[in-house]
Amino acid sequence: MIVESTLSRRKVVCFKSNTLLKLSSLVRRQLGYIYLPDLIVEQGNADALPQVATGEGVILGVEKRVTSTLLETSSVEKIVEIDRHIGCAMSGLQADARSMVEHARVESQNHAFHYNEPLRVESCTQAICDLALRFGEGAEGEESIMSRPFGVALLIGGYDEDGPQLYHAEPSGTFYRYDAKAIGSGSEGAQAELQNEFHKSLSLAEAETLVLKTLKQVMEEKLDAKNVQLASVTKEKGFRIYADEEMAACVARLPTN
Amino acid sequence: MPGFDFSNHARNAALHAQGFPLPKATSTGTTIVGCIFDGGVVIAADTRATSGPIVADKNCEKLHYISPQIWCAGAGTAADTEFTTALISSQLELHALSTGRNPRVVTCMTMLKQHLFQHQGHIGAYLVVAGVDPTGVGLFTVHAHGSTDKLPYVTMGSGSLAAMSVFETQWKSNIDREGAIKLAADAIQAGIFNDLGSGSNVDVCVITKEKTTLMRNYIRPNERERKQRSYVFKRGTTAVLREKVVERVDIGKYVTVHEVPLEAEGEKMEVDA
Amino acid sequence: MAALFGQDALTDNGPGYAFSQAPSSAAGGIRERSFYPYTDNGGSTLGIAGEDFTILAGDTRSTSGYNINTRYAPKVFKIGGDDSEGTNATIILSVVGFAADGQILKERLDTIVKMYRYQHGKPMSVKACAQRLSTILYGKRFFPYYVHAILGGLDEEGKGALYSYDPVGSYEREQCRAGGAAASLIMPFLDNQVNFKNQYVPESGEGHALQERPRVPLKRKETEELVRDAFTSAVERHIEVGDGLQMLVVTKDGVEEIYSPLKRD
Repeated sequence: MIVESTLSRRKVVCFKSNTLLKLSSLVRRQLGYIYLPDLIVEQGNADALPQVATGEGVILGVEKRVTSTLLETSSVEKIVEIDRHIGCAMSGLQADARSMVEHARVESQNHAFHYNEPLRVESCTQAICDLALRFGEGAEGEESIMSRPFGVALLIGGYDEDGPQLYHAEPSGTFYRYDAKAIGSGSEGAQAELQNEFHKSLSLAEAETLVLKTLKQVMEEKLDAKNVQLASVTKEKGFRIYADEEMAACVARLPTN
Repeated sequence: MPGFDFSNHARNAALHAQGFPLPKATSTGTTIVGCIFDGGVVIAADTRATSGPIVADKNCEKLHYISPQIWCAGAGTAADTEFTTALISSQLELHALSTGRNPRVVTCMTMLKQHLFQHQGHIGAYLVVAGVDPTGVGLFTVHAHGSTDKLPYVTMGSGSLAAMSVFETQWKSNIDREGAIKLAADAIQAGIFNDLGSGSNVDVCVITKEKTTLMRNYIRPNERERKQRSYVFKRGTTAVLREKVVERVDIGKYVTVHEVPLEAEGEKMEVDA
Repeated sequence: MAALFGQDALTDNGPGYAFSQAPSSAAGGIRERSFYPYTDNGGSTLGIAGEDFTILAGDTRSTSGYNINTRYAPKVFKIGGDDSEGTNATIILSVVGFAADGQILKERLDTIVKMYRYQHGKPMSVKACAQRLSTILYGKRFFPYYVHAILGGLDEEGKGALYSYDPVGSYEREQCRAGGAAASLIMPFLDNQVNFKNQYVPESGEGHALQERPRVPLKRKETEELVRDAFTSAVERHIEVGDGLQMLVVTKDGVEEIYSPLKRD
C-alpha cells in the first residue's frame, strides 16, 4: 500500500500493482475500499501509440496488430473521432474506451449546444477522466453504474483556441499534457525515440514520419500501410483518419534501412 | 328622445362574447379630495388622465364647475364625470332660475345620486361635491352606484388611500383656510407620488361664502427636465413620395374657411424646439 | 396554503399572483381551479451596442397594479464577476417583466458563468453566454421565466455586442433593443436615432430614389444622452416607469455603473 487518502466520503487506497483488479467487486465492496490500479496501460495487449503535437496539428498513430490472416483489418478501430476538432487513440480494453468516447462525444455535443462554441481539448479530457471514479455504488448508496474501473488509457488529440494539444488520460482519472507521448506495450522504447527526435518546429509531414518511424522501431511485424493507422487534427481540416492512399504515401516517405 | 342610445347594445354584446375587446375609455385613475374649514370648503385634484398604463393627458382638469358656489371633483371614466357634471350643472341652473334662489349643495348631490342610481353604476362617475349655499358649507362624495357620504374630509379615486392617510394623520377640527388648502394639496401630492394612476400637478378650488377661487396648477412638482439632445431634423429628411397642392379657392368648394387668430398663450400644445 | 396566498381568491380580480379566478364548475361536478403564479412588475429596459462599448439601462421602479413596491429595484446586473458586487465582470444582463423570475434567471446565469470559468479555465465569451442564456430560457419552455432579457458585452473583436431574448429563448444579436412596459414607446425612437430609420439624405433624389441616411457608429456620450432622453420621455407617458435610471456601460476597461434620478410621480 503506498498512498492512502480521503476523497470526499470514500476511502481511496492506491496500489502499485494491478493484481487487485482481479478481485471481484463484491470482495472490494466488503473491504470497504476502492482500489485504483496505478497504470493499467502497462498491462496486457496494448499496442504502441506514439503521438505528436506540432504547431500545425496533432498526429495520432497506432499499430493495428493483425492477429489472424482472416481478420478484417478495417474492423480494428483504435483511433476514433470525438468531435470535429478532437480525436483519440486507445490502448487497453477497447470496449471500455467505447463508453468513454461515447461520454466524451455527448459532452462535446452538449457544450456546443449550450455555448455555441467547440469544447476545449482539456475540458474534453477532464470530462472523460470524471468517469474514472464512477464505479462501485455511490456515497449515498446509489445504484452502481460500473462494477470496476476502466481498463484503458487514451491519448486525446485536438485543436482549439490554444492551438493543437495532446493529452494522456490514465485509467486512474489523472491526465497530463504532452508534446509527444507513447503508451502501450512498446511504449518505453517509443517514448525514448520521441524524446530524442521531437522538437517544437516539427512540420505536419515531419510529424507523420516521426510517428511512423517510432512505431516501426517497436513493432514486431514489419511496418506497412496495412498494419498501421494515422490520423491528424488540424485547424483547417479538423480530425481526419488517413485513407489507404495517404497511408501508403506516408509509409513510402519513410527512410528504408 | 332624451337619454342614451342603446341600439348597438345587442351587437356589441355579441361581439364581446366572441372575444372582441371592449373599447378602452380614458379613465381619470385619480386622486381627488375635499376638506371643509371654518367658513368654506376646499377641493383638490391631480391632473393625470390615463388609458391603461399610458398617460393620456398630463395636465387635464378634474375640477368641474356646477354653479358659481358649487364645484365638483371627478374620478372614474373621464367622459362620465364630464357629462354628468355638465348635465347636473345645467339642470341646477334651470332649477335656480325657476325657483329664484341660489342652488344648494344637497340639491346638487341628490340630483347626481338619482341620475347615477338610475343607471345602475354603468355611468362610471365618482365625485366629490363641494360648495357653499345659504344653508352653509357642504361636502359630499357620490359613488357611481348612487351612494353618498357627508364628511368633513373626503378622498376618492385610485389615490384615495394615499390621500386619506394624510388626512387621518394631519386633519384637525377648526382648521383655517390656509391650513385646509395645504392639507388638501399635501393629500393630492401623496396620491401623485404613491399612486401610479395619479400624477403631474395639483389643482385646487376654494369656495367661501364670499367667493370661489380656482387655483389651476396650484403646485407643479413634476416639471419635465430639458432634453439632453436636440432632435431637429434637416429639412428634406423625410421622404416625400407624392405632392399635390390644393389652392384655398378649391378647399372653399368643400368647406368654409375662416381666418382664426392664433391660439392663446398657455393652452399651446407641447412641441419640441 | 391560505397564508401563502393571503388574498380573497374569489373576489380579487386585480393583478393576481395566485388563484385569482373563481373556480368554475363543469358538467359532471368537476371543479376547475386556475393557478397563475406570475405578476407584472412593470418597468422598462433598453440596450444599445456601440463601436467599442455596450450600454444596458433600466428604470429602478418596481410596481404591482397601481402601487409602487420600491423606488430602487435594479433591473440591470453584472454577470460572472469575482464577487457579489460583480467585480471584473465583462458581461451584463437586463431583465424586465416578472421580477422574481428575473432575479432567479440572473442568479442562474451568474453561477453558470462562474462555473464555466472554473471548468474551462477561461472567461466565457458573450457569444457563448448568449447561447447558454437561450438554452436556460428554453429549458422552461412550458413554465417560462416571464421576462424580456437583454444581454450585453464585447465580442471577440472588442466590438459592442447586444443580444435580446423572448421569454422562451428565441434570440438575436442587434444594435439596439427596448424591453418592458415602455418598449413600444422607446423602440421607434431608437430605430430612428440609432439606425436612422425613416431618415433620408436631403436632396439625394426624388421620392423612392432618395438615399437612406447612412449609419454612423454612435459615440459613448451621445449614446448615454439618447438613453436618458428615452427614459425621461417614457416616464412622461408611462405610469409604470420612473424613480431612477440605472445604466451599466461595458468597455474594454470593465463595467461602469451610472445612476441618475427620474421623476417620481
